[in-house]
Amino acid sequence: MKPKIQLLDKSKKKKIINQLETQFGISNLPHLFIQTGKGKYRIYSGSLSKEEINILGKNLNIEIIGSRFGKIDKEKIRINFDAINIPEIKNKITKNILEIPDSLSQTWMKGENIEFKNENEPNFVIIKNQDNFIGLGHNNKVFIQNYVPKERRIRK
Amino acid sequence: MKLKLKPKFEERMQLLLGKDYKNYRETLEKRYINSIRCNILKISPEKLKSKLSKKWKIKQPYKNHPEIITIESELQPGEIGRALEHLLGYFYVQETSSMMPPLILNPKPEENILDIAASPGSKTTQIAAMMQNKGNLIANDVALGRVKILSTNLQRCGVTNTIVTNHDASNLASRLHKLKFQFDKILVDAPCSGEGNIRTNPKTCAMFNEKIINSFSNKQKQIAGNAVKLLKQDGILIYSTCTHAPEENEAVVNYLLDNFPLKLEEIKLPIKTRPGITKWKDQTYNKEVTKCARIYPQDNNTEGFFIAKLKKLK
Repeated sequence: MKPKIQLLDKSKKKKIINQLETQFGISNLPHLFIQTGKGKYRIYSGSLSKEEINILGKNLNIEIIGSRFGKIDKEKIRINFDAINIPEIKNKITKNILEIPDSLSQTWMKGENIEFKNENEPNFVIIKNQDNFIGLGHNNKVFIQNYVPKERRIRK
Repeated sequence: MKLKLKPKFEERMQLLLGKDYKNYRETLEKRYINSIRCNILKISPEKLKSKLSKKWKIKQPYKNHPEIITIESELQPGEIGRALEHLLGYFYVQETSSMMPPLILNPKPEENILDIAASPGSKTTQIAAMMQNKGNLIANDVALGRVKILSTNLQRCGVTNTIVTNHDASNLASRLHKLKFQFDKILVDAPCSGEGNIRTNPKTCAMFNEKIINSFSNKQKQIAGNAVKLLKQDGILIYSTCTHAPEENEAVVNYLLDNFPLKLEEIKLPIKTRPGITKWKDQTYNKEVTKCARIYPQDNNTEGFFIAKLKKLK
């Protein structure tokens, strides 16, 4: 069964943006936010209004709107692998970026965790190599848990 | 190994190409040049070129279209798909001739556009990129399994201005017609017998028969006819296929001209094309179909394609 499409109102969107600012420094996004399941969000940048989308939704078999943006995980937002390299999002990410060398990027892209002992609070981090964002990980003070989706990993 | 063609297919291509058939046949045995399209939603062609040049010998053959890149190096099977830049959505593996219909459609950021048979999404992602993720793009496909593939490709490429629907063309047209929802531009990249792709998909040869061609032709007329109903006055409809069969190309365009208020417009492309044909076997088509573009493998070392640009009149 298709998940119910729920277009977020201003207050719900603001809540997400506030969380994004805390975690990644993203203070605004012009997109329309859509909730498609428990804690799962998509973004739409097209010109149709909420009303027009609702009318289409009642009359057409809409499979998806826009692109997967992220989901609530461990009470934090985990931005989707494909979304972090969209320039309107990428250019706004200023916090919780962990840069790794080329030698580790191969390991990371194979889906493996990376050892990283630190005293930071557990949080999601954006993994950067050269000028690419190569996915999201969860820093648990001992290692970075790898969240690169299987279909985006370099095969071993 | 030499590509095996069915005698009936060879006979048809000989009739279509005349003396040039030999050239066509030889091209089918030539090494195929891989092409990719830079996804300008995520990276500029210059940056991508600089990254890819470190691993492959690449070219940007068309000055005004730096997003079109060919890979000249010999590649291992699956090597392009495994590249980091592909996984990050920086490029889409797409045959050069398949990039031509969106170039003719020429989508603009403020427009409302329909891609009526969108899967797997090569042209949809190209259209979205040309629209700079603005405007509105509805990407439809009749088969749910193909809709999933389309969705995956849109996701990887960071396309955010698109609504994906799952309808057959007539059903979609009647529902949108009731809502008085119309489009500035429509791409009908119709399902076809795929004769133009036999180098990259030799299975097409084995499946070839004339019954299939006629069945596709009927389906294409139905899809394109329904699409016309959703087009605004002065709106543009691009009809394209990846086949050479005139029954699926000029015959469909001829049907559209006979039954709808449409006129054909000239097409200019960065690759060599030939005009549409006005006579095939016992059929004669409207002389205007010479404005259509036929793309043959022997002209550009690409796959084959057919494109028509139609404008809706009052």
